[in-house]
Amino acid sequence: MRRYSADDEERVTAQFCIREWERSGLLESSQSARLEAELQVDLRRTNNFLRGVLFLFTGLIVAASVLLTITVFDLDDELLLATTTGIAGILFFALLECLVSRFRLYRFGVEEAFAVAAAVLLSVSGAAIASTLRGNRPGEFPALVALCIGALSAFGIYRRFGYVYAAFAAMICAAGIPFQMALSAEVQRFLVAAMLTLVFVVVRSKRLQNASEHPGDEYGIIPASAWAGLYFVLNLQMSFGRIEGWFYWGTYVMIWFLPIIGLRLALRVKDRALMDVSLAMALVTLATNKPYLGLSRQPWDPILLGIFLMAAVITLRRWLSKGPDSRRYGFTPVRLLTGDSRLLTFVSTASAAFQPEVPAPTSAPGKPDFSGGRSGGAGASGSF
Amino acid sequence: MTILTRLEQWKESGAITSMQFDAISELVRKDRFSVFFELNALFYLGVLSFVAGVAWVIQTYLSTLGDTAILSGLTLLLCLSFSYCFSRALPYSPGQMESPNLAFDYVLYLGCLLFAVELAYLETRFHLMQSEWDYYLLFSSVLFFGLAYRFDNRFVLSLALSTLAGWFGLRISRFAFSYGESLRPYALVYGVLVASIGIWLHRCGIKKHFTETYLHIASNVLFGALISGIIARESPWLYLMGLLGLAGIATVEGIRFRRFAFVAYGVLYGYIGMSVRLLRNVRIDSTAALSYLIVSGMLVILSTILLARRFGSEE
Repeated sequence: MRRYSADDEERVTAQFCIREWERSGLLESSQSARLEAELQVDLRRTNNFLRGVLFLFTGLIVAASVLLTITVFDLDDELLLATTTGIAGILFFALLECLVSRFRLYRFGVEEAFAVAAAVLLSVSGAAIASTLRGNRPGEFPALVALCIGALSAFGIYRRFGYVYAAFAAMICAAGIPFQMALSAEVQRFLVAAMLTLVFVVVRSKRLQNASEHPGDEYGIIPASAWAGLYFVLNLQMSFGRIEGWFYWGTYVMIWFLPIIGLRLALRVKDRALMDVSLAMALVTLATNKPYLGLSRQPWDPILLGIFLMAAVITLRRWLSKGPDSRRYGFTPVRLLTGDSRLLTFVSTASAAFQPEVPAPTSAPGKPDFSGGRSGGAGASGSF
Repeated sequence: MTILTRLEQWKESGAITSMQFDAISELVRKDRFSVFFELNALFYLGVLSFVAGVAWVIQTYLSTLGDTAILSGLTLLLCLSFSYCFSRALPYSPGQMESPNLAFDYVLYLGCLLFAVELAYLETRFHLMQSEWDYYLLFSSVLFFGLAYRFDNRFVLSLALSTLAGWFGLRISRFAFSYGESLRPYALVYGVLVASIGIWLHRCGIKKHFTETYLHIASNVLFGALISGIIARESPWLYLMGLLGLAGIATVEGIRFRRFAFVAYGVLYGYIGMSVRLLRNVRIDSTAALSYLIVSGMLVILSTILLARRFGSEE
C-alpha cells in the first residue's frame, strides 16, 4: 500500500536525527557527513521553505487549470461539473503517482499539492453529483457526500504517501459528517466523540506496539490530533450550538478529565505530542471554566492564571533540577537539542506580531490620522 | 531498522565513540526527555496573561483603586522585576549568552511590559506629554533595545521593534497590505531603518544572532508596504520596481546565506506584487487571468525546482 519503502523512510528519519545531533554538538561534522553518506536514498527532497513555495504554486496552477477548463467549456451544468472535477481529481492522482515513481519526489511540495487537489476535486465532484440527486433527502446531502469522499480520499492518501496532514484532514471530514445529518446536537457530538476516541485508541495502540521511530512518529501525531479534536467537540464553550441539561454537565466533567487523562498517558511513555496537546487543553479548560458555570469573568482572572502558570513552572523546574543529574523519571528541564531553541527563537520573533494589548493614552490631539494604529509596549488601541 | 540498532552498528564500526553512543542512545530511548520548550512556553503565556490582567484591572477599577495605589503597585512590580534581572545578570558579552535561569528572560519581559502599562497610565491620567505622547513609544523602544542587548533577550528585542513600529504609526500584527497612503512612507522608512540597524550591528559583531529577527520583521513590513503601494494605483510602477528589486535581493541573499525563508519571501511577495499589477484590469475568472496564473505559476515552479535540486533538503 505505501508508496515509499519503510527502509527509505527510516533512513530519511535517521538523516534528520543525525543533523539534529550534529547541530546540538553530539556529533562532529565529519562524523555526521560519513553517517549521512551511509544513509543515502534516491528520494528527491527539499527544505521546508522551498517545499511550501512549491506546494502553493502547484495548488495555484491546479486551481487555475480546473477553473480555466470550466470557463472555456462553459460547464454550468452540475453533472458536467461533477464529471470534470472527477476526471481532474483522477488525473491529478495519476500525475502524483507518476511524479513519485518516476522522479522519486518525497515531501517536495509539488506531489503533495497534487494529492490535496485530487482529494478536494473528488469531494467537489461527489457533492455536485449529490446535488443532482438531492430529491427530498433531509439534511445537507451534498455536503455529507463531499465530507464522506473527502474523509475516504484523505485517508487513502495518508495510507499511500504517509502525509500526516492528510490523516488530520480525514479526521476533520469524518468529524463533520454527523453535523450534516438530521440528528440532535447531543447525538451529533456523541458520534463525533466516539469516532475520535476510536481513532485515538486504535492509532495509539499501534504506536505503543511500534518501537521504531518510523512510523512511530506519525502514530504520535495522529492520536494527539484526535485527542485535541475530542476535546474541541466536547468543550461547548469553544464550538457552536446550544446544548443544555445532562449532556452539558457531562461535557463539563469531560473537559476536566480529558487533559488529566491525556497528560497521564503522555507522561507514562514520554509522548511529546500528546503531552503538549493535553497541556493546551488544560489551559483552555481553565480559561473556559467560568463561562461553563455561567459565571462572569473578572478582570483579575488573567492575573491569577498568570501567577499560577509562572509558579507552576518555577516549582516544576526546581523539582526536576534537584533530581540526580538534573532529572526525575527521565524528565529534565535542560535543553538537550537545538531544535528546542529554534522553536523558541521562532516564538520570540513572532511575538513582535502579537504583543499584549496595552491601553494607549487617549490624549493625542494634533497627530496625523494614521490608519495603522499603534503597537508594542505602550501602544495599542484601547483607553483607560 | 530502528535508530538504536543503527547507533549500535556505528559504535561497533567505530563511526561514533562509546561516549557519543551513550549520550545519543539515552535521548533516543527517552531516558532523558527535555521539557525545556514546554516550560518556556508556559512561562511566556503566564507573563502575557498576568500583564493582560493587570491592564484589565486598571481599566476596570481605575476610580476605585486611585492613582496612588495603581502607580505604587506598578512601580513596585517594575522595580522587583528589574532589580531581579540586574542582580542576577551575567556580565555583558557581544556574543550569545545563556540565561542564568529559566525565569530570567520572562521576568525581564514582564518588567518591560509593566513599564509600558505604567507609562500609558501616567500619560492617560496626567497628560504629561500632551500631544507629544507618542515620544513615549520612542523612549520605550530605546530602553527595550538597551535591555534586549544587555540581557540578550529576543522577546524584549521583538517588543522593542514593535514599539518602534508603533512610534512610526505602524502595527506589525496588522495585515500589511492595508497600509494607507499616509502610512506607507513611514512603513518604508521603518523597514529600511530596521534592516540597516540589524545589518550594521551584525557587521560590528554585536549579538549577531539577533540579525534574523531584524530582517524578518523588516522584510515583511517592506514587502507589505510596497505591495500596498502597487494596489493603491499611485505611481504603481515605482513601487513594483522597488518590490522586484527587494525580492531579488531577498532571494539572492537568502540563497547566499542559506536562509531559505527569505527566498520564500522574495518569490511569494514578488509574485503577488507582479500579479496584482498585471491583473489589475482583468477579471480573475477570465481566460486571460487564469492562463496567466498557469503559465507564471509554472515558471515559478520550474525555477524553484532548479533551486531545490541544487540545495536538496539543506535547511
